[in-house]
Amino acid sequence: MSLATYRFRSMGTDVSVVLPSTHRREAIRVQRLFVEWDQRLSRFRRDSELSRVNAAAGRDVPVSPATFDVIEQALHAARATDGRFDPLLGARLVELGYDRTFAALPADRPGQPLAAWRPSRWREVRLDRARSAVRVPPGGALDLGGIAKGMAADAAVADLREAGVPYALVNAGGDLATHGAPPESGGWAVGIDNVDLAGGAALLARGALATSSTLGRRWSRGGVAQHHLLDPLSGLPMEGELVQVTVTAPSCRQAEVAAKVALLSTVAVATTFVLGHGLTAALVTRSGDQLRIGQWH
Amino acid sequence: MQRRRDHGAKQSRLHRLKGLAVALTAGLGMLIWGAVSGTVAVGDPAATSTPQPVTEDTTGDSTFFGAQDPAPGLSQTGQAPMTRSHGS
Repeated sequence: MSLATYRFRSMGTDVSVVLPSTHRREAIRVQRLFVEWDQRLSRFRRDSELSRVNAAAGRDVPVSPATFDVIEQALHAARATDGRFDPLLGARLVELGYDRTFAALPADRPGQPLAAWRPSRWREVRLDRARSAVRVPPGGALDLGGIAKGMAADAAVADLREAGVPYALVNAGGDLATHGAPPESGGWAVGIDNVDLAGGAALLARGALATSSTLGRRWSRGGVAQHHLLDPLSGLPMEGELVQVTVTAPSCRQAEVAAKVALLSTVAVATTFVLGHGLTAALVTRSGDQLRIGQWH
Repeated sequence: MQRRRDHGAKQSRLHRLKGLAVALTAGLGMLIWGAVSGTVAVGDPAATSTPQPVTEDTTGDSTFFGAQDPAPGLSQTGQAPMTRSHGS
């Protein structure tokens, strides 16, 4: 059975679906799923549920159960990482100039003085499960970009599995989720930017893989370089030892969060974190060194 | 006439005292009821403070990276990449 790749743009990134060529209809289902997720969770759509929550900061806003689930998982990730993953950085990103889709972002933004940063305000987000309502604190805004993409990829492969597709891979801007693998392939051959791999690819037999990097999505603010991954403690773009982290995990939701948390860390702390959770990772340092941690064969 | 006015004033004071006693009894009763039933009396700061989150975290923080399946590893392959992971 030959493989086919279907590509489309959604959630501000390129999405591809690799699956048996006889399952074109199911690939279109995946596109529809991404369109729905983008409509609910984009902070750049004024009519999205997320934008309504952010615009009504300080007040309860009812949301769909699916949106509630993503926000709940994002807060769960924040608690599990003691705030090193922080979903409440949306307002700060806007302050730093990332106030529209990256494609529409001018290369240089005005350098206005920044407000004093108050870390860990994600702890003030209130969820009311009975009413499926969310409240963000005044002045705060959720940005679910990465984790939403990862969860959309997870949801897409779950949908394909239920639809009877025997194996598939969904790649949402570098966040990959898989279901099964092509027969006798041993897995999915995945190339990783800035990581030298024999043959140009690593084989992912199952599960998910995500890459976080400070090398992309960059702009300038008053002449000072910015990027979209913020250090939750300083409220400023991360400037650590690592510039890129790729992590494998059972789900893309986990891989995405783990990659961001490791990227924020020193090499030593990232190594301890990855091994402590039984994950596998490829790290790229600021000087260009590459480190492989965990189950590499 | 004077005796009637004194009597009226005495009755009025008695009425006010009775009213105060009733109010005190009612207030005491509400406090006791509040303590027994766990309800919050009006004026208690807890009644006007920010509501606490009602989300139940049934999964527990330590389980975010946990799963039924162990995390997948990676192996070197001579195959050409089917897809790429770049930073997001």
